Amino acid sequence: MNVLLALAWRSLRNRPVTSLLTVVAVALSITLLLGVEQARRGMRESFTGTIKGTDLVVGARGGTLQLLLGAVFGIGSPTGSVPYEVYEQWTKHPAIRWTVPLAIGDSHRGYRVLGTTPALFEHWRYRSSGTLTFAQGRVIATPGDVVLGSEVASKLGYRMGDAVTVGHGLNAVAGLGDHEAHPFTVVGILNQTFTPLDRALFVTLDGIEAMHESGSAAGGLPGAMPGAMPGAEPPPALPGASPPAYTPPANIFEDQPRALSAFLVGTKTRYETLRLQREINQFKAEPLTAVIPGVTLGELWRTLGTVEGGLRLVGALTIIVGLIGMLVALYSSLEARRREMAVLRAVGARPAMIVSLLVLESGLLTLLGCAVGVALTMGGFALGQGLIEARTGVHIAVQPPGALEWIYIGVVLGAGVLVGLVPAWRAYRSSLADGLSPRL
Amino acid sequence: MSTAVLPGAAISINALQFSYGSGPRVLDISSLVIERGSRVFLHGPSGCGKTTLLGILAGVLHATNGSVRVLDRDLNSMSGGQRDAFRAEHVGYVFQQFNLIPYLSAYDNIALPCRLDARRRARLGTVSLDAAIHDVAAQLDITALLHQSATALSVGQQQRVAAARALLASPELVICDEPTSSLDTDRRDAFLALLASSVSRANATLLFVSHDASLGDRFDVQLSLPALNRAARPDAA
Repeated sequence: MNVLLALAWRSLRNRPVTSLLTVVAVALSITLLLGVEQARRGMRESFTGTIKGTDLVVGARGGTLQLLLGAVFGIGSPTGSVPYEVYEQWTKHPAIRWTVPLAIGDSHRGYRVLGTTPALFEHWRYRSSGTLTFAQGRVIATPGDVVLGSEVASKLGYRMGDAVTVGHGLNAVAGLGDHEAHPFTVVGILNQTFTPLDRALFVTLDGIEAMHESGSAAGGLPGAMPGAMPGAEPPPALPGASPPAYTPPANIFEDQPRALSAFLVGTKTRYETLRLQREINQFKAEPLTAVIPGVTLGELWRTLGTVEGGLRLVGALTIIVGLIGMLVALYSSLEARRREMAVLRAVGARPAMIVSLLVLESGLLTLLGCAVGVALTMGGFALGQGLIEARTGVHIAVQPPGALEWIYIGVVLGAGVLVGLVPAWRAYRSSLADGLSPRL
Repeated sequence: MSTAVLPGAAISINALQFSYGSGPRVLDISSLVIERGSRVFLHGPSGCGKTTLLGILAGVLHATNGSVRVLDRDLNSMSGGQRDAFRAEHVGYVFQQFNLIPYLSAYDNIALPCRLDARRRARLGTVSLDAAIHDVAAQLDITALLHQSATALSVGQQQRVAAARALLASPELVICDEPTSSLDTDRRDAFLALLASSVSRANATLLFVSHDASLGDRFDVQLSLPALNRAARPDAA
């Protein structure tokens, strides 16, 4: 067997261009297949890992996915606003262990500003049990405090004590609509979490309020967003997030200074979670939606399942094309190798050895293709990780192939060996027919 | 004319008939006996069934009818695998040309029979494969070529490497199918001299087939295949 393996290897090296192209074809198809799988798994882990420990996300009545993506992942805008008193009312519910309010809608140079409370730093969990930790400084306490996510601090070059001005609207361009009258001071910088929190700034709810009040006190402040209502900058519930018809009355600031985009809830038991969700969804006084993050993400995966299935099919077809390429290469080489087969027969090779030689060749090509493919996939994600995260906010961890990927690789290897049987069979037949004198 | 199978003969053919599938009869030989240790020249123009006969003697082809005994073994009663193993162990074979595996060095080409078959290797006894290769290479004057790629060798060098491979580990029977037809006269004579001395040293039986009758004088026995093969006569088809 070792002799045949050595023969197969040298035979492949004797045809370097064909062999290399075949390996590349198999490797690229493996890369596509594994890449789709890796991206799928990475995306799921990234999303699921972002919001561990939160039992419910509650927001204004609307789409569950929109609520979750807008409130937690900073994708799109939240469903609407929740009056602060409604939030306060729910915090007293006996099933609730903790709550974290979120006011979303302002931005700073492209990064999301979250109005919240110190409870966020206490209760937010990511990955398995990761809690938010501070690289420097402390939690937000006064209206002038801001805590920065790691990427915000590193990309924008902020240090402790720097002044930060916040713009209105999630897509505000730098300087446009900044609430210059109420600058914040950096009091803390978080460690990297590989979640959307890295790309957020955290201020107190009072800070959001003070910012908007100072804006409206200025009365059509310079640099206000074009089209902003003069003297009536909308309340913390945001223009982008609210339905277009929703125009809060100007006096909302005095009566009810705060509104939230959503709040996170930790319940006492899992059973309470389901009951509380139903209770919130049926709450008459205010139309609310409560979602269980895992369940809603499950809906997202089901939605994406069709796309993933399509990509997988493309991957599988690419594999087939790659293997057919190998078949063509091996098969077309046979004609020129009939002499070689006759020589092998003459020195004592059994027909089974001829078959083994060709199967070993296809097996080696496939094995090399798979190895290069795995390396390409992992290398590709290692190199592209930063770009993917910057573009989509999804952090995809580079991981060795999982069980499913190994099964794919095994199937491809098996298919590669089977493909080798085709030229092997032909070589077997012709070596039996030719004997020692191939009819060339 | 004796039809008895002589014990101890290297090759003993009796009433051999052969056809490719259901095609016309290619070989029809009533009797052919080659003694052990003899050097036999078998003359035959192309198309008279030479290569078919050699294929049968090497155990690659299976006689349609009759008895074929090589080294006292009845090839016709052996399975294909047994005949392959038999050939690997006992037979050296040299083709007209293109004898070498192109992607192996001369050394690895010579080593191939011993690497593929443990019993051929066992014939070396206590001698290492490497030593045996160098020994046979020295006999055929190709020591300097051993580590060159097969494709880098001239035709004459290739034929000598092929002869070295056929002679390695002293097989009892060496079959040469037109090994000199692609060589010029000088190289042909040099090759034949080297082959003859090596075969003598190995105590092997040599069956040398060629269309060139002028080579016959150098051998102990001269045979004519058209005379032996009734199927090759125009009236026998």
